[in-house]
Amino acid sequence: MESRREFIKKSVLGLGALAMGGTSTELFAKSKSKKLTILHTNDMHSWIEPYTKGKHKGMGGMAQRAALIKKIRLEEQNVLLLDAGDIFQGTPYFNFFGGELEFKLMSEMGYDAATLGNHDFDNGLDGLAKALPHAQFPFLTCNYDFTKTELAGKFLPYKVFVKGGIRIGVFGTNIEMNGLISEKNYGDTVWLDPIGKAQETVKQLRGEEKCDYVICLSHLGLTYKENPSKMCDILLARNVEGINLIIGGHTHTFLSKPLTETAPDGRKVLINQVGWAGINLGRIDVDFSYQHQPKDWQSATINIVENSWKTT
Amino acid sequence: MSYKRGQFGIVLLALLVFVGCKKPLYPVNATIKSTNQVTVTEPDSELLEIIKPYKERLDAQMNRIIGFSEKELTRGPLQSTLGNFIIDLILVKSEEYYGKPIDFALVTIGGLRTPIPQGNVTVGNIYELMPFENELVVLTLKGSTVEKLLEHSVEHKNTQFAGLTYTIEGGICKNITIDGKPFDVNKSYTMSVSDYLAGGGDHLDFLKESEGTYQLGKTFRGAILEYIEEMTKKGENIACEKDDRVVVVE
Repeated sequence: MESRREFIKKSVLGLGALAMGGTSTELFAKSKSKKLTILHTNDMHSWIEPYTKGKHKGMGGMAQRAALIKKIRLEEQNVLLLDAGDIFQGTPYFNFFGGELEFKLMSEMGYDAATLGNHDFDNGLDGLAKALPHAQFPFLTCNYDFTKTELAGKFLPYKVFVKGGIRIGVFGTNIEMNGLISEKNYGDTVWLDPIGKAQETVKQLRGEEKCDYVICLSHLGLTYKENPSKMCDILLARNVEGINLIIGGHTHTFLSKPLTETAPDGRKVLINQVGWAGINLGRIDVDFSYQHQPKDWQSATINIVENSWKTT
Repeated sequence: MSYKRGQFGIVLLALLVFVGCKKPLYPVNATIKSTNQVTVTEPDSELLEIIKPYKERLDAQMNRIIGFSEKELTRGPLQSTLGNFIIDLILVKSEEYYGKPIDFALVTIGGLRTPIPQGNVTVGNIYELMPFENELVVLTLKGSTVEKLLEHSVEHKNTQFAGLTYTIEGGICKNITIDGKPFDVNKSYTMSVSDYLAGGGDHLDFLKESEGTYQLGKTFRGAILEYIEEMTKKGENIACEKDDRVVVVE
């Protein structure tokens, strides 16, 4: 068991070294381009362990995801790990421990930021407040106003990360609570118009914060066929200038590749979402020019399967 | 067998991904490329260590035996062994929480996710049966709303009642009784139900017309767990049969 793990570790290291020595450094030297690797999840719904039955049998699991992320971190220099909300609710781990374990494991994996989903309110504002000290990463929301609640000052509208000299602005947008979350669970939280608040936040990120790349963590949902005017990621992309990538959630959509939408200024916006329950890890690699302009990108939806399930 | 074949495919795919990694991954001017990959992985041992004490506590809780069922209780249209058992106990427990009588209780079969197995029943079985944190509420309904509810029952057959009986004859609902008395459309009735259905869930939009809502402050699942533990203390096993609460005349 141990020797096998060691073997894997060494192979991974070897592979990483091969990549560094061979292609990547060469590539950096010639073009001075840089690469950002964005890893993302959404709607993990307290799936701490892999599925033990059903069509997703053997898939998912936070320790399994952690192993994959560690491997990628050995291969890549500039990694951002993000989540688009609904971390809570779905297995008894949440019923019994209130989300504390989910936050601890995400911190251990090195999540850089997350946003809030509607189910993250399932134990009310005090339930969230109680679990929050276990999260060593920020929650970003630009359109939930917690000023009049016990959670005032606990969240940020955005955060700027600097990776390999590239400035990446990440912000959060969140779904309307009315009709979705019971009132006693959100209390005096106020929901503000996501488009207006996103425009304001992106202006700040592109202006004062001098960001080269802007990512929105959204729990608005991809789109609503039965109600096309309902606020969603596609409408956000079409109405806000300056976003490069929307990492979505809520609708539990399994996209095999990102969708492309067009912002009002004609620029392309990517939207991605990778299902739910931690079955998949989303990966988007963006190449930047030496002037820090995003150029090409590649994406992968990585289905995580626990090794021991291969033989059982 | 077919599962193993599927797994073989996954291993092959993983190998392909692995081999693919040796090629330069991101050449300059790469065309935009999206792939679906499968990764087969061992769990990270450090995270398993963090999970371990939680898993042990959880397993100890979930594997705790709280009762014994004489036979498997399953769900079905109009009434069922599982539906009758659950909704009868919900009415009893709701009255206890409310501190006064309630006319009838409702659940839909969509809300009862798995059967109660024959033999030992664990806390985990009840979490599988009712994974949601739905809370119990008491609604006051006009007679006309109860009529809509019964029309829905006849059409969709997905309701299970306690304290309300009826006959379906030629697609028409008749001989309706509530709390043992004939139904009067001009009267108001109290009904115990989950907050999910009270909010119009499972296409019961008309429940939003209720004249009043009272929160019992207890979860649907909590009521089931309490009731079964009380039965076991009294030396009773879980048992339920279908009865004449719904009669269908062809």
